[in-house]
Amino acid sequence: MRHDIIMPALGMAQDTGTLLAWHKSEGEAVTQGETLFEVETDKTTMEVEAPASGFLVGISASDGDEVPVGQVIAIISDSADAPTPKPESAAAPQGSDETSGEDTLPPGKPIIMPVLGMSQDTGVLVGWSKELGDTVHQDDILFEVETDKSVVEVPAGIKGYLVARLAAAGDDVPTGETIAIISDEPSKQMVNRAYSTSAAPAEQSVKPTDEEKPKPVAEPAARVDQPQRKQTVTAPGGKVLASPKLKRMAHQAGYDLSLLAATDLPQPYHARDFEALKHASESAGKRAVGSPSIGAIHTLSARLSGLEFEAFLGWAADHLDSSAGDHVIAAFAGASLADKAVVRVDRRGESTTYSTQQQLSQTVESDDKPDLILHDLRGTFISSAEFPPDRAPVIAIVGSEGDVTLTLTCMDDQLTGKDAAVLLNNFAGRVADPLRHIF
Amino acid sequence: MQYGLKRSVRDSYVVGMVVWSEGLSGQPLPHCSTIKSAAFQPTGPLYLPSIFAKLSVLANVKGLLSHTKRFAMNKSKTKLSADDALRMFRQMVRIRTFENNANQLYLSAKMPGLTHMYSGEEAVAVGICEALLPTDKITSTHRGHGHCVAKGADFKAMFCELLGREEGYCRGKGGSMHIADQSNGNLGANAIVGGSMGIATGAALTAKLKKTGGVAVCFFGDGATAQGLMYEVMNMAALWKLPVIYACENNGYSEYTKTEEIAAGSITARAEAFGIESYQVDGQDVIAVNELSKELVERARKGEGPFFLELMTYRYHGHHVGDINREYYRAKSEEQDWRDNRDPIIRMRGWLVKNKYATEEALDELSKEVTEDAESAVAYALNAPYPDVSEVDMHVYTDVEHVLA
Amino acid sequence: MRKITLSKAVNEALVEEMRRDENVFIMGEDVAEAGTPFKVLSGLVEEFGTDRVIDTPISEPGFMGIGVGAAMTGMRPVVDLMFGDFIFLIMDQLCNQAAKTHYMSGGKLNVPLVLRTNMGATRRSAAQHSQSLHAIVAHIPGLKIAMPSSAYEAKGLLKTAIRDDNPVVIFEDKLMYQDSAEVPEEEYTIPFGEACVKREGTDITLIGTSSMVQVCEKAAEMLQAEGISAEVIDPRTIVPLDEKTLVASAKKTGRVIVVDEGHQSFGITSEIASRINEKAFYYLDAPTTRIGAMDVPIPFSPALEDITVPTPERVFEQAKKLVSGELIDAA
Ligand SMILES: Cc1ncc(C[n+]2csc(CCOP(=O)(O)OP(=O)(O)O)c2C)c(N)n1
Ligand SMILES: [Mg+2]
Repeated sequence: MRHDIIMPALGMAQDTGTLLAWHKSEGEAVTQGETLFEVETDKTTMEVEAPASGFLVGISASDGDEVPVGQVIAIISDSADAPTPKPESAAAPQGSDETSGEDTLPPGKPIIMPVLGMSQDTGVLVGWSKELGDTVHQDDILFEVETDKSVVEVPAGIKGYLVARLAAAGDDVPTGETIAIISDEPSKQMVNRAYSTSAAPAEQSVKPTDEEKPKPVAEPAARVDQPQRKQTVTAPGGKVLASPKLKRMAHQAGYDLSLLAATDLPQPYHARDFEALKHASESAGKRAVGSPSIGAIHTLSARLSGLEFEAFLGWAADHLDSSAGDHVIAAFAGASLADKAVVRVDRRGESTTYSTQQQLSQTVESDDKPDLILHDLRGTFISSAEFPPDRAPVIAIVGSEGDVTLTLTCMDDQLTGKDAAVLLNNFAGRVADPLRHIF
Repeated sequence: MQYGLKRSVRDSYVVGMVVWSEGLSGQPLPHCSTIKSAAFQPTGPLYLPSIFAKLSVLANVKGLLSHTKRFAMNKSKTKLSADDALRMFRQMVRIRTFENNANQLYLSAKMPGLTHMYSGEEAVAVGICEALLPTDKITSTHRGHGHCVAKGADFKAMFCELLGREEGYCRGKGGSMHIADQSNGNLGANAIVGGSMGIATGAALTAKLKKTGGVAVCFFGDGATAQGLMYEVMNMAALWKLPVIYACENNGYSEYTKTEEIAAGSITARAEAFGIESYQVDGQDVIAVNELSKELVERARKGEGPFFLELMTYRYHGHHVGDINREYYRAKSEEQDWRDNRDPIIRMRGWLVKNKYATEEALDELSKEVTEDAESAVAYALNAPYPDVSEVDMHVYTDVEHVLA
Repeated sequence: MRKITLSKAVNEALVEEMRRDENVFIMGEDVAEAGTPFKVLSGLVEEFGTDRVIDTPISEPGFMGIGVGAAMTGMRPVVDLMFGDFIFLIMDQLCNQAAKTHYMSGGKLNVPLVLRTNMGATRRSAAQHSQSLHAIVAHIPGLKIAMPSSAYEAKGLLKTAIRDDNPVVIFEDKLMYQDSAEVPEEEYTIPFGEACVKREGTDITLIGTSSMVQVCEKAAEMLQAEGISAEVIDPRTIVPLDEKTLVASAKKTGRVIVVDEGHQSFGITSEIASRINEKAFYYLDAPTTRIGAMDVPIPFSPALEDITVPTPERVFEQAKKLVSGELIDAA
């Protein structure tokens, strides 16, 4: 009878034991109950007894070794000189019994499960169109994928030899996961298997032949059964899904989030979509210029050179002893609207309200409700802005590279389209040629 | 060895009293040596008069003796049949063999978690469970393999449970400390010391209310007598005359501490305070345990319960399998003494042979069969599959299949 | 700096405090010669004797109650509860008595008691020895709750706990007793209510308690490899909670995952997530999400147990989802 001598598990949470000393040596006769060796664990040492009588053979750990519990470190055999079978290691300790890791993959360029739908995170491999070892050309169909109820044929995108297929028909594979490898040369070491997460190769294990990062395969062939769905996530009732952070940013910048819904971007929107929102707002603003009033909102833009205006402000600061900029702008805008008007100027987070008259000198600060709101964004990095309608018509003033862009937004019941155009045009004229205002 | 059925059974109760009396007199309780020296008093008077006299005085002073009934076997009506005797022997061997295998599995890191060996205490579980019907209920402890086997469990499903496999009694969800075998009336082991006292008493209430004639046995250790719950439920069981038997396995230690350091006064007297009939029994004598159990179970069925047993026994291994270096609380010589001189299996074996119930060879053959049975069950369990991970959220509620689905 | 195990760190804290203050004593099951089953208290009874390292019977409600009474009358007991799961046995003494005495007495009585216990699964100990029950006591006003994440915190927090005049519950992770960390030789304490930023980052905040700090740190490593910068914060005490540090980080990164080993529902993760929601809402670019232990009793079978607890992989996957802007459950 052969008895395996194992490193015993003795402590509460012990993975290894240190073999302090053997009390018996290779080939020595031992009787059941005799001390075989000493182990140290968790700060205690203990003696381990022979579980049976016989001869101690096949010692595979020596004094001082740290040995995983459960490992066979010797054998008690019926004879001293029995050919010592190499102690096979005992069943792996709990938890680590999966067979060791990944098969090595041949070198080459990875082909990934492409993202074909908007909110698609996996694709079901319908089938392979190429066999392992086949040569493939860029435009050859490599496989078919089912997503969002459409089946798409995916071309290889690169040419070479198909040396690994890492998913099988029917597998549901996360997008971005490598499912095949195409190499420049045929390989002997080819792999064909079903998809498994644990063995999904990391970039480096695929060893792309050049520095190229894994790239999604080329656009799917034209034969797509259904057009790609633009948006799969929308909240009921047309509500726009966006993070609180983006909502706050949009609110502060005065952008309308619903404009994003008209873009290709998937919901929910996040802070990173702010740039897109800005563009959407700009182009919405431009579209509005000159077009018939859409619903109840008018948005108009004017662009002009700001050089004269800057020069005038510089002069005014020196001669008029006023808080120059805001005061002058309020006066120009107010005069464009009516003989007398109340104008609020928002600049760098501060608001000042003025009551304006045709005469620049009669423009003074006021507490009244504004008839017109100006957002003066000159001197900031902002190059284009449009604000949602407020309690009064709103004009955004943006300066960039010597030009000034004025964007007016108002509700139809605040100003008709025609009046809005008159206001903006007058204001633009005054800004473009300030002297016209004074004289 | 001086060991005959009728005499030994009587002696064992005397032995119990000896231990009890010394504990009572406030001396340090030399748990094993006392028993050993007194246990095999050759046949003699039913009670050792001198000791008993001293004892009654003492006990009367303390008013404790009133309900402690010494079990006298002079009327031993039923002679043990060969079948019954051999079945008890086999069950004890099965427990020992099961534990040896479980210990090996643990030490070789094939068994997860940790476990508490019942070896040495076999006569307690077997003596009591052999007096029960499969429909009678037991509740068990962290040291529960013995109760489970004794109540009729199957090796394969037990080893599968110990290894966390799908075919285990609890589909791998409970493990060593929570094995339950409801087909045989085992309501489960319990990892909370004293945690099952309410459960056993509740099972007895069911038996009473439904008039099933069933009995519940609550197994627990000496250490568990420190739990307040025990006193609450004993009080109610006594008030309501519930068919429950409280079986305190006094193995002399609670974890790494001697019983006398954690239990003041007498253990049986605790139950007597509630008017519960109490006995102290030699837990290494399976026939004594069984005879007494049979009588009490029958009386409990008739509504004469509850009863309390203190079974004097010993665990051979450490508190749990990893408790190897234990000389700081228990001497090796003490362990050796129990193994050599009071082993319940060796004693029963000698008695079987002497009384011609079986030959040595037949008993060897029996042990071999059990060993093979255990080994094949271990091999089976080692190769059995783990439960599918989808089972993780099953069985949280009775009416929801997957609670997290 | 020298490295010692968490077990040794706890031992040192007790030795130092017991030398400093003769009113400090330890009480619990097998704390003396055995030094607890985890051997954390080895050597203490030799130095301080059995009057100050007291072995008790298995009577948890009893010795907890005795601890409360001793604390109210001038002692500073450190009550040792062998497994956190047994907290259910002492709920009355802890939550009805210890927690409320100071308040009910109008500030006249104190209960300077420390309950040292443990938490954590994956020891294959099954449902009654694997629970992490800190949320249950954190719910009760009057108790302070510390959750050390390494040997360093274990020592500093325990010393603070012993000097605190309120009942404090410390949960140590059973699996971390043998883990080593740098612990200064010099004396130090760690104030309650001060979170520790274990790692700075800009894209997402991972808040972890106890051993989950390590889980978060591992996830942060994995995220870094993907170009995502994660901040890892250890609150160290959950009562009091350093809301300021947590909220500031949430505002900075705009995304938060809270990881804790208690059951996910009605737990610490929910509490922290909702505070962040309340105080940093307009800065959040993704929903604050929770990762706790699965809402099932901890199963014995290794095959099942391992999937019930949070892992670095799960935190990593969740973080990637949040950073990529994926909609977390539109339903
Ligand atoms: C309520 C509770 N407290 C403490 C423990 C830890 N513990 C497990 S077994 C044990 C000793 C039990 O002693 P005893 O009741 O005599 O049973 P034995 O182990 O001797 O069979 C202790 C303290 C527990 N499981 N439950
Ligand atoms: Mg005991």
